[in-house]
Amino acid sequence: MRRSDGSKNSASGIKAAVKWLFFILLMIFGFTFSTAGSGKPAGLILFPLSIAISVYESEIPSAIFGTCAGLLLDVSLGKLPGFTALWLCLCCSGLSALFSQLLRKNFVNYFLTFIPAGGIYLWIDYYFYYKIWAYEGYGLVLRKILIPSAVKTLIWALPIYIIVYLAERLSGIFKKLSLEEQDKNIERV
Amino acid sequence: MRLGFSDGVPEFAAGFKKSARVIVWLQIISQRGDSLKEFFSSKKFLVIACIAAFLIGVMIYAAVSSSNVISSAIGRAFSPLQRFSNKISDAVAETIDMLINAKDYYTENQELKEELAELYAQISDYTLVSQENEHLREMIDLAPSGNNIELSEPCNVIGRTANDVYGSFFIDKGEKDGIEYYDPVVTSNGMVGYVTEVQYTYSKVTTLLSNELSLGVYCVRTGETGVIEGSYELALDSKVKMVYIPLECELKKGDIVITSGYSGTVPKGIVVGLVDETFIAQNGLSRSGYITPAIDASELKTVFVITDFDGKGSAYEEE
Repeated sequence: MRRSDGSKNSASGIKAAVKWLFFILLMIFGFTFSTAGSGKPAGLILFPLSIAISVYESEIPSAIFGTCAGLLLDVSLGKLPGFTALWLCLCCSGLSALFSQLLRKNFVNYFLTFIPAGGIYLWIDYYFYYKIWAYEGYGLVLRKILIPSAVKTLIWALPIYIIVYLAERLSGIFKKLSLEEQDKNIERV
Repeated sequence: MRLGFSDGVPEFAAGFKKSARVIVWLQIISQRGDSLKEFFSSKKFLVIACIAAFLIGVMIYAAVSSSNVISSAIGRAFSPLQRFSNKISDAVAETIDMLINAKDYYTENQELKEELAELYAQISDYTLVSQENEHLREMIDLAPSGNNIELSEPCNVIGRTANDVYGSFFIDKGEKDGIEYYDPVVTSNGMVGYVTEVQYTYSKVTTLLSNELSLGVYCVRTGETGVIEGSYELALDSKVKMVYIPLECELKKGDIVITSGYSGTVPKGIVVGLVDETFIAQNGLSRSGYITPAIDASELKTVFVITDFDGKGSAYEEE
C-alpha cells in the first residue's frame, strides 16, 4: 500500500517537474520571440503566460514565475529591470489567491482578470515612460506602438491559455471524479 | 372571497427561501473573505512581500548604477538563444518578403543597373580627380587626411528592443571587446547610432532616430552646418530633424549630410542621411529640415563600432 502511494507521489512529482520545465521553455520562447523580428510592435507573450499560470498555480510559484517573466520582459523592452517584474509579481500572486479562493478557474475569468491587469500595466508604462516626460508626439507612441502591441498580446492570450490549460490537465492537477466501487450491502431499486 | 391565515403562507415561504439563499451566499463570501484575510497574514504573503521588496531594490540599484548585474546576467545567458532565434526570424521574413515583393525587386534591379552604369562613368572622373589631389598634396607636403578610425570586429545584431519607437537593438559585442558608452556605431553606408548600454558580453545600440541624441552635421555640397535630433513623431516615419540651419541656406532635396565631428563623439565625414525638405523654423531666425537616415536600422544584421578615432572625447573647439 505504502509502495503504491510512493510510486504515485513520484509519478506526480515527475509530471509536475515536466510541467514546470515546459513552462520555463515557454518563457524562454516568449523572450526570444519578443526580441526577434524587425522591431515592429510585438505581442508580449510572457504577460498572458504569467497570468494563465497564476490561474492554476498557488501564490508563491505564481509570484516567482511572474518575477522571472517580468525581468525577461524588462530586458526585452529595454525598461528599468524590476519595473514589469514588480507588477507581474504582485499581479500573479494576487490573482492566484483570487482564483484559489473566489473565482472559478475558467477562460472567461482568466480574460476578465487579464484585461484589467494588462490595461493597468499599459497605462503605467505609458505614463511613466512617455506621458510624464511630455516629449513631442508622445501620444503617437500610445496609438502606434503601445495599443497595437496590447492588441497583439490580447490575441496571444487565447492560445497561451489553451496551452497552459492543456499542460495543467495533462500533468493531472485536475481532480478526477470516479465512481465508488460496488457495495453488495447497498440495496438497489 | 375568503381571506385566511393560510393564504399568505406560500408567499412567506418563497420570501423566506430567497432571504435564506442570500444569507448563504453572504456566508460563503464572508468565509472566502476570511480565507483571503488569512492569506494576507500568512507566510506566503510574507514571501511575496519579500520578493516585491527585492524587486524594488533591483529597480533602485538599476536606476542609480550604469551597469546592471541582472540585465547583464540575463543577456549573457540568453545571447546565443537570441542570436539563433533572430536568424530564424530573419530567414522567415526574407523568404516571405522575396515571395511577395519579387516583381518590385525586379523593377528596382533594372533601375539600379542603369544607375550603376552612370556611376561607372563618374568613377573614371573621380579617379582622375583623386590622383590629381594626391599629386597636389605631395607638392605642398601635406599629410594625408583621415581620422585614423579604429573599428571593432563585425558585431552581429542579436535582438531588438520590443516596442521601441527608435528601433534600438542589441549587438553581440560588449565590454570584453573594448566597447564603451557612446561609441558611434556605423556600417559601410553610414552612421547608425550610439552604444547606450554596455554589458560584459553584449551592448545596446540606440539609433539616430532617438530624441536623446544630438549630432553635429554638415552638407557635403553646400558646407552648411546644423544639428540633427529625433522625436517620437519623426521616428515613426524613420526621419530626423536638422535644426539651426542658416536662414539663407542652399540645401535641397537629396543633398548628402555627413558628421561634422565637432563634438568629439563621432569622427568627421560619416554619412548620416539625405535631405528631404527644409522649412523656416518656428522662431523665424533659422531653417529646419527633415533628414532621411542613410541606414534603416530595422534591416541591419551586422554593424561596426568605432572604438577609437583622432579627437575622440575632445571637442574640436577645445583643441
